[in-house]
Amino acid sequence: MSEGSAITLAGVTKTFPGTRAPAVRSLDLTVNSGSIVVLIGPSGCGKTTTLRMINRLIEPSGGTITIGGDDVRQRSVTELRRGIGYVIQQIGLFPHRTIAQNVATVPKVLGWDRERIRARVEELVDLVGLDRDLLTRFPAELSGGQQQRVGVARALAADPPVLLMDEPFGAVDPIVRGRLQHELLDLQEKVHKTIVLVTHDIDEAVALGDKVAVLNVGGELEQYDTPDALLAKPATEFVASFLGAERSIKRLSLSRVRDLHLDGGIWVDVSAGLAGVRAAMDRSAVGWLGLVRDQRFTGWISADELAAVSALDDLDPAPPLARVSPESSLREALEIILTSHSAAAVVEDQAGHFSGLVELEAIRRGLTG
Amino acid sequence: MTGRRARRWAGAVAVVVLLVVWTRARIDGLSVDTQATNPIVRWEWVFLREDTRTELWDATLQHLRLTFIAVGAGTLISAALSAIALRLRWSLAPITAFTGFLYTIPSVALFGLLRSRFGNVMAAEVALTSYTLLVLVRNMVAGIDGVPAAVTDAADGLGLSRTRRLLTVELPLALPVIVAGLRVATVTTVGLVGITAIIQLGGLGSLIFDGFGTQYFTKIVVGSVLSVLLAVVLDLLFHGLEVLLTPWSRRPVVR
Repeated sequence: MSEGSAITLAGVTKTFPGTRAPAVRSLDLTVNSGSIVVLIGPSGCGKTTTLRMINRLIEPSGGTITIGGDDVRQRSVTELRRGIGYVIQQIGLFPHRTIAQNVATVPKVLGWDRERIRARVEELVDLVGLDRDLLTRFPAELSGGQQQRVGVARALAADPPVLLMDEPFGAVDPIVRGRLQHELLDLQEKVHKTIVLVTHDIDEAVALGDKVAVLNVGGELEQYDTPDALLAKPATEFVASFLGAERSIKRLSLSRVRDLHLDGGIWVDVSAGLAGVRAAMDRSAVGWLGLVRDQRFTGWISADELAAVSALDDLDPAPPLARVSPESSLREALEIILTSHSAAAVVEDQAGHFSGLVELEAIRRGLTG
Repeated sequence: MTGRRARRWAGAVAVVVLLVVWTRARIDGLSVDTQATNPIVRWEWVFLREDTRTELWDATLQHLRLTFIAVGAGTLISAALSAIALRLRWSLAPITAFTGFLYTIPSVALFGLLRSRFGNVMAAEVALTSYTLLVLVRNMVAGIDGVPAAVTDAADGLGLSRTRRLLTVELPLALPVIVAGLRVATVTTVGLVGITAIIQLGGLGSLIFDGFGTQYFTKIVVGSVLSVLLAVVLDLLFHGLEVLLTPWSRRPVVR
């Protein structure tokens, strides 16, 4: 995937007729093949204009845009656009076409036979997590979130290597938005498209982007970096103020619990025996200790309880209040620890296997390390 | 929704049934001798006179022919004008002004004026056609303009050509507005066709003119009623066509 479908913008400029200041001024940007790049900035920064120049819905006034090394001006606009998926905030489903017909738009234009279109449409609705029963419905009969999934399926129909998304989740409520963002990442794991996504939501940019391009008014590229680098070291005053005051908190969303070094901590395996457990309790600074049996976290015991029993079987450990999965973000882990008033959160995978404890100190180390 | 529609249909059917029963009862009591008993409508002229049926049928056919040619030609010309107006936005104002001007010319004057230049039929069709242009062009342009910007943007972004976008996206979505224009144009034309009686055409209108000339009110009433019926039937046909062609607008919206 060295070259593949990488997108490069070289000195791209756009000045709209009747305006003196360019909307985008001499922009250089490279989007690696198979990665998600998020364009973000205040309104008037030319992020949507930049996106729409890639599929030539807007023609640049100057500069060159290439996809996979080929200048986008080499092909006719219709041919070019059929090879680029396009998703917009207002979705723009065709209200007079059923869901199946909407998804089949580009394959039909490309002249695929009926059987191939039918198979592809079913594959796509499964891919974006829609019920096949919806295929015969009209768009107005679907919820906003379902419509947006149809929009994504329609954009992916002819399996284009490139996907352009203009504030794709801007019109749905925050809960659905979060779910759709997760689904997009899951989808990307399977399809490996080169995705350029425009948003004005910094949390969305941080959550979705492999790299984030922060644009200032007039299409000035202020910084182009990974979300973590952006949050850790904003290049300019503008970027810092745009990212907001909670940069460290936002960085927590980027790391997952499984990335932490979770060796040691205030827990012990019961195979250590009563003496071993007592020794571990002596090392615990908080007066509490977690017990693990057969790779499962059985609960918490206090120093007083431990002193009062003569055998491990007499203990009645208190079940843990805070549990996280290895896939949880550090932000989620912190939230759970704080709201449950626990010293640490238990890390368990979906099968319930224990893999360690997350303490506040581990989260702090995760940010600096 | 369906309940209300069913009741409406039941009402219409009931009215028709009553009319048929009532006229049947009247006919049974008629004979050619009873001419003077009903000064407004002489039922024996309607139902017993031998030539009446062919006269009415011919008048109706002429009425229909004049209407369809005018609306058909008007639709073609309006489509061309709308295409120009949509492509070159600045031309919309002059086109609307011109068709609006045509619409303001008194029909009697226009029929008379054109007759001196063309034959009777041609004069009638040119005038009738010109009256359809204003409403047809306005609704065609409004219909296409009314297609949501997001839908056309998506169509462009997916790589539909301009022609394909027009035929498969914009026209189907503009259809309800365009058909609404066709309905108004048709009903108006059915009314105007009657006036072409002044140049020896007129379809059902010639019946009315005859009636006035000879003080024979039966002809006026029959001509008027049939003319109204014709307009209503054509209007309903277009409405039915629209319902058939826009299945997506009837499904309930579930959210």
